Amino acid sequence: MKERVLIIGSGPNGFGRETEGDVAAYQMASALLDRHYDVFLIDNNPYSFTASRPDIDVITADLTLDNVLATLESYNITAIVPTVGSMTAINLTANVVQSLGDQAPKLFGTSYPAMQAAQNTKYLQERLEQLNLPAVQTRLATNAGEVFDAARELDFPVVLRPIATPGPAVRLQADDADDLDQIAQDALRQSLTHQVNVDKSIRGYREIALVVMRDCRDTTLMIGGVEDLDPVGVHSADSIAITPIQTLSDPITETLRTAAFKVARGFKVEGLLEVRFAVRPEDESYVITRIVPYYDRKAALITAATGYPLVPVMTGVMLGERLDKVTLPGIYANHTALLEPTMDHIAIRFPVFAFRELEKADILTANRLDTVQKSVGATIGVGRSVEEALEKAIRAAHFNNVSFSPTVMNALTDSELIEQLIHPRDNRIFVLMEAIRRGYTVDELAELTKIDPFYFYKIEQIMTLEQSVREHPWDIETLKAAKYYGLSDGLVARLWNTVYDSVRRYRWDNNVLPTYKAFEPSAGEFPEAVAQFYSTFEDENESERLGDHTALIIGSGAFRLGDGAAASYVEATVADELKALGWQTVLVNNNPHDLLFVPQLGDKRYFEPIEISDVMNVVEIEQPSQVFVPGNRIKLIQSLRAVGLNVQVIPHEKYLPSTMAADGATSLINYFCDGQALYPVAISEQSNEQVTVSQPKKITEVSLNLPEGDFRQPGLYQSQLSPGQLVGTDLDVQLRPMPFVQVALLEKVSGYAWMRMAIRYMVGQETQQDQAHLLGLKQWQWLHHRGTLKYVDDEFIEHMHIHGSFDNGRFAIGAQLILDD
Amino acid sequence: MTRRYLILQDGSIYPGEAFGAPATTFGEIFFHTAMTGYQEIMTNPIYHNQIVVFTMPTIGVAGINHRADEAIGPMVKGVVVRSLAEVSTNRLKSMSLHEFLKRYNVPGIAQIDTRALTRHLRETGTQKASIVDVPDEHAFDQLQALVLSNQQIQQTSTPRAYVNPGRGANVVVLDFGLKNGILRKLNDYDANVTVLPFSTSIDELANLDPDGIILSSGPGNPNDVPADILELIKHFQTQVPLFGIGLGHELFALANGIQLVPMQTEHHGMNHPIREQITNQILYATQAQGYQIDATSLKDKNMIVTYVDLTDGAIQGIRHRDYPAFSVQFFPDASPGPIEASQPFEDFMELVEDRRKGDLS
Amino acid sequence: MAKEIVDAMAMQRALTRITYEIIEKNKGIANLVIVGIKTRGVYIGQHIANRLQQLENVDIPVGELDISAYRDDQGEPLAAVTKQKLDINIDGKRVILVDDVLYTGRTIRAAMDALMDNGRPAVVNLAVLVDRGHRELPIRADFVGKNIPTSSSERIQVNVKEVDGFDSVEIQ
Repeated sequence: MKERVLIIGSGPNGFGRETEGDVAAYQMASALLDRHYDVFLIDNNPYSFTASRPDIDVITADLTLDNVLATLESYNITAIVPTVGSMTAINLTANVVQSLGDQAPKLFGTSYPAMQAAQNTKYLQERLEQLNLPAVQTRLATNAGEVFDAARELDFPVVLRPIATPGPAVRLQADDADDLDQIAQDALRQSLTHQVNVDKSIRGYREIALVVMRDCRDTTLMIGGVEDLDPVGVHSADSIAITPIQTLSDPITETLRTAAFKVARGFKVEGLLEVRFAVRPEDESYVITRIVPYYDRKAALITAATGYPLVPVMTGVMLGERLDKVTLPGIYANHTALLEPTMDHIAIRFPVFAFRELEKADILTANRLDTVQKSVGATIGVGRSVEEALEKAIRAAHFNNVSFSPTVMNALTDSELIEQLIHPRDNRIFVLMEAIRRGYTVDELAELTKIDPFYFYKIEQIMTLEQSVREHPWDIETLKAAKYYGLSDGLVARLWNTVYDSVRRYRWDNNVLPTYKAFEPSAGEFPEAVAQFYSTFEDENESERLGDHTALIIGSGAFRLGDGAAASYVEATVADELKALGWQTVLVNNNPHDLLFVPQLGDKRYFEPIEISDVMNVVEIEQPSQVFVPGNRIKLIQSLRAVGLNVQVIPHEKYLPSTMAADGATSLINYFCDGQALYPVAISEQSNEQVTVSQPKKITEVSLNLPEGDFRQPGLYQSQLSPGQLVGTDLDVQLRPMPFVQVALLEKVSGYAWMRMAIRYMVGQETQQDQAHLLGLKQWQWLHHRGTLKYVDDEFIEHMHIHGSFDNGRFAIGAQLILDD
Repeated sequence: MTRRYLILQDGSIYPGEAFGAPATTFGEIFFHTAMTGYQEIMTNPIYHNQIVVFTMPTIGVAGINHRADEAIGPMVKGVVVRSLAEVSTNRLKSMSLHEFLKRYNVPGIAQIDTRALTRHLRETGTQKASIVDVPDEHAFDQLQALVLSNQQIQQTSTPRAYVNPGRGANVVVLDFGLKNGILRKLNDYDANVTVLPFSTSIDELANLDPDGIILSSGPGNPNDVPADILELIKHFQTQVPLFGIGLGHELFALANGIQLVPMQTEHHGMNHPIREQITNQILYATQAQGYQIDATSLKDKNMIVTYVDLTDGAIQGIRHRDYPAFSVQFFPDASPGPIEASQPFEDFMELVEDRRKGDLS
Repeated sequence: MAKEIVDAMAMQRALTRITYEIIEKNKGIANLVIVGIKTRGVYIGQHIANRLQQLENVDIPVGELDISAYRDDQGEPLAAVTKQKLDINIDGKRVILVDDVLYTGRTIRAAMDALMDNGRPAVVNLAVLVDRGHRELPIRADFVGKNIPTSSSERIQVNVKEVDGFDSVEIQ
């Protein structure tokens, strides 16, 4: 029987749920369709790109057990995939298995025990013990004597976790017997049952994650490993992360690899599994801290960094295909699925925080990093040295220079500096740099921060280089060194008190040119089909111009607060439509989670910062016929136009008026612009809680004189209706681009791909149907007459400690979609 | 830092920055794709007299730790890297890679476009190379004139026998350029190990009444090895469990009339899928292979193919049909490299134990 | 409580080793047939045949032997059980008789009787996954996967994927 496969989505975006699940779900749907499966998706995320596929069945419903059970029944689902929908899908699927037992559909991609272990640390620890693998050691104590017995057995430091506390969970660390004397009784008192769990503390251990794959024949392979810069104690998403693993020796790496295989085997996982370790650097002993049985940010990073076709492989494997027989898209070599990726470059994931954005809106939060995720996005920097990769990642993160300027750092007192070294904040990397600048030795810093000395040598190297650049203006050897270690033209220009373009010209005149290297999983051993590149400054360039009819699409980098996922949806739509129109597409971005990196959307991809100089370097190689840029990158657009490029702006306005300002809901009228005229297409109402969009009941012809400027660009625009104003009456319009969030909503509710039509108009490839559609708007019926996007903001309390109201139109990162019939 | 040059026989010149010893060096150049284990690779006698290019861009991060040595000091003649790491010398590390190479008078060169070099070597195959101060005509003349030694076993094998005592089975290791990993592995079984020079005679070996014999890995062309060794293998394979590794595998094949040919693309890495034929299971192992069994010469040789590299079909293991004698091309001692590759050791020690108990008599 | 003493991997290794020993001892696999004793002996025999197929690309016939009619240590009267005919020809063949556990030897003796009722093999060898000792008859296996010393009060359970869903040997 043909399987009917239900993919569970991840629901609204949030902390730890960017678009990586969508990226994986999209590719998985393609791989399933290639094999002629019937594919279903349940999700309520309005920004889901997978949900916009016309070739799968999409169930838009909240991700609740009842809704999933109802879906299973009404669509005769025979198999569930919980591995591309974050922890949300894991929790839901575990519930499905619990409530249906033997009657549950087949589970694809992971196992029930693996899901349980991902949910429940205690269960994980018990199972690990059975498998003879080390977990965090825990002892139960009911009086102070037993607490001390436990501490003596486990060795200091220990963490006390009172059981059944009336308030939130409590963790108390004791570094020695004195500490323990002070907290033991207190911890016992906090427990309603007078019981305390005493854990061996792993604070300061190094965090390592390995991503492995196991097939039905028990073939296991390691796809990659990631090392966090910060030790245990900082949430892994908030730490700078490096792949491949740098600071571990071969024996411990092999030990961890074997342990990860044992876990996959022990939990009977047939598919992808990520195993997290804490390694004690002093003696390279380790414990397993978590298992992640789904495609998350580490898997996304490793996919981006290695060029390994992770999602196509995990799809084949979950269907019972063996790793040596798995069917891959045509471009890959036969052995690709089985070759353990080996890298000849470094990729660094750099977390992006939202504290400053919030600060600007007068929302103050503690910007200290701890075990709860604070970052809202990430960039990736790729290079042939750690220095280069780090420089590029920092540059891609677009730090506000003011917040991190040397003067701000200079103002820190020594004790403040030490405090921030020990208790990291969002400006982690700059504090480390400042400490080096002030002459702290590498060993001192390593001791204070528990960061491997290796990285301090690298930071020191960058500092020395910056100093040397500053001291040697227009020296060509210094410039070569700066480029070799990843410094941008912009940074060099700043250090030389000039403008980036002068540096770029000077570089060109002296033949200091970037070389592009391929991401491929064999480190140059085999000629592999490659469509993904990064820049460096070495001898050999591997990237040639793709063709003479190319569209270059510039992504928008790391997600921040607000519309990151919606922007990703829109840009993916743009790329997909251009491909459909026969363009060869070249994509530039640096967000490892972004939908633009769905392989099907681009003929060629560059993982680069999107500073002007980096984009210009790509432009010089590709000489694109068209460049597509999100509308808020005004300086970039100007620079690209200045060199005579054909730039299409994807209308985008990030800084909308606060949705909190209005009392109650604001009404908006939304237009489609074909470059000539405006066509009213939708009415929407927005408040701080939600946006509702509906088909206008009556469309009156309007003829508007378009203002000059970018509003002539085909796209979606909107204007606010003053109270009592009727559609189509005289419009004293203040037009603005329709926010991406609402574009996504409009497309899902109306059932029409407006953005794709806008692209067709932009490149002059509109069709008669397009014209007919616009002229027949009055007769046309929406798929759903009305739909609502409800902002989801409750996670801000847990993650950012923000209470009270909050400008959702500007800051909310997730939303749920509710469709009326 | 000092500017130096890596030059190749085909005339290519790669400028870089010197580290390690300031000496001029010559050797055969090859690239290694492992991401970990640079120290184990540099000290493996199989790479005696060669110049290694690491495709992993950052090398030296874990420092030098003598427990990871595969021999005393580096065996390579030169080290080529992209980005050399400075390390703190506290904790587990006893010195930096730079210090280590300097101590043993081996030059290194950093800031090389190792990816371009690797892609070049992938096309040309291995060739002679040199690290020099000036890439002039004289340097190239010297490089052209260089004759590579065919006495590699003689240079790396132990000159006299020694014992690594244990309380378990009596295992003899024939040293063709032994790496420590093999002894480390035998220690796990508490074997009583006698390491013998390559030139040991049949009688000398027989006097030790071995429960099993290991033919070690080692450097060079298997076809250069003295014929006596093949006679010795032929003699003992019918008597006791025999296990060949690397060069030992190649010699086991030669002794049984199988031909060995140079490979188009050598294997130096640890990421190739290797299939165990009998179970159809796939494993990963460190490979260091320049020669391979000519499959056509294997026909009617009373040998079973046990392991195959799935990237190019190169034979990675054989087993005698009639005797408990087998060999693998890859490194089963897992230093460096995947631990699952050590299964053949387990198989061998089981045979050895069976023989001790008299099951095979 | 059952305790796993041989895991799936070790069980696979043991079968691999038996297979190589069969090749060595028989100087090849010409004229070889495998007869598995029902139930688990058949699957283990099949595993060995699969391995021989992988290595030598030759299909070795695997017969299923039901010995319930031949047991002398089970209460049922012999006449009540029909003797089952073996589905492969063993005349003049080198037979590898396969069972999961070798214990008292009575199963094997019964199997030998059943085998002889079915033809006249050239040679019969015995392969078992586990030899747990406590023999009551002069029977010895030619190929043993694992020797596991046991108390006679313990129970050895061999699990095979085809029947039990997973491969392992457990002691109870």
